Amino acid sequence: MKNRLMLIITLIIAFAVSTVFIVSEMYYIAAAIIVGFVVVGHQEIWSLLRHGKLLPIDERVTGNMGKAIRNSFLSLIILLALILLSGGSMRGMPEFFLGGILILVEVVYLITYLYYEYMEATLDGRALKILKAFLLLSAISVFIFIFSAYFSNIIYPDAATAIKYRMVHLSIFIISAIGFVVGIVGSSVLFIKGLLARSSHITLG
Amino acid sequence: MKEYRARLNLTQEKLAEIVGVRRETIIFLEKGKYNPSLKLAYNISKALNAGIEDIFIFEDLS
Repeated sequence: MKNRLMLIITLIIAFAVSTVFIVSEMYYIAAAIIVGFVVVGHQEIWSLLRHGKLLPIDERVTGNMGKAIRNSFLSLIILLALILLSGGSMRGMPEFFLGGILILVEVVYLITYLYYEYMEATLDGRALKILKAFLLLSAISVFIFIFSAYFSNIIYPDAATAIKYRMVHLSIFIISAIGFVVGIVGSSVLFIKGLLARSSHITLG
Repeated sequence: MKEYRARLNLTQEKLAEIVGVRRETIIFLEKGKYNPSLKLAYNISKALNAGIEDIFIFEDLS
């Protein structure tokens, strides 16, 4: 009963907030809020659709949600700090960019939630450390990419340093792109391994 | 925990329902991958008709 009430309250809040943004013609942010609702309540929605009942939100789930919220909040702070450090302003920021930041934070929530919910239980210590390294590599690469993209907008090099500057800028872009691909591929492989291990041990008992 | 559950012919799902947690939480507890709160440990012991110390072992990691 308690979690059903929580889901309904969250749905009403998400609906009300996204309606405000739709009325204000900020469609990207409204979409990000709806995606956020689906991300946070994905297990409950899935269980409701598949079994017609809601799963209990127990202490383990609450703990995992707390850790995921902490990580996504931290990533939001880091992202905003990087944008402000590189001379960007929240006021002049395009709406799709704000929506993109929200989606990115939601992705961080989903990945860290899945990590605590399934990977910690199914993967061994060494695989977990490698997965953590791959996830960090992907996150750092995205942050560097965004920072360097913003940073390039506020530097106006003179003709003498323009080529040198562009070379450095291009190198950062290429390195962060490679880092992102390596991180995503590596963590995807380990995630699939962990999820397959989960489906095999879940059938026991 | 698995042993006590088997004695009472309880499935993981049934035990989860009795103590008000998800089935995955019971699986993680049986695999030793999750440390329960005192309240959950008490509820599980009660559902399995055993003492907390019979089912859970306290390890001081400090």
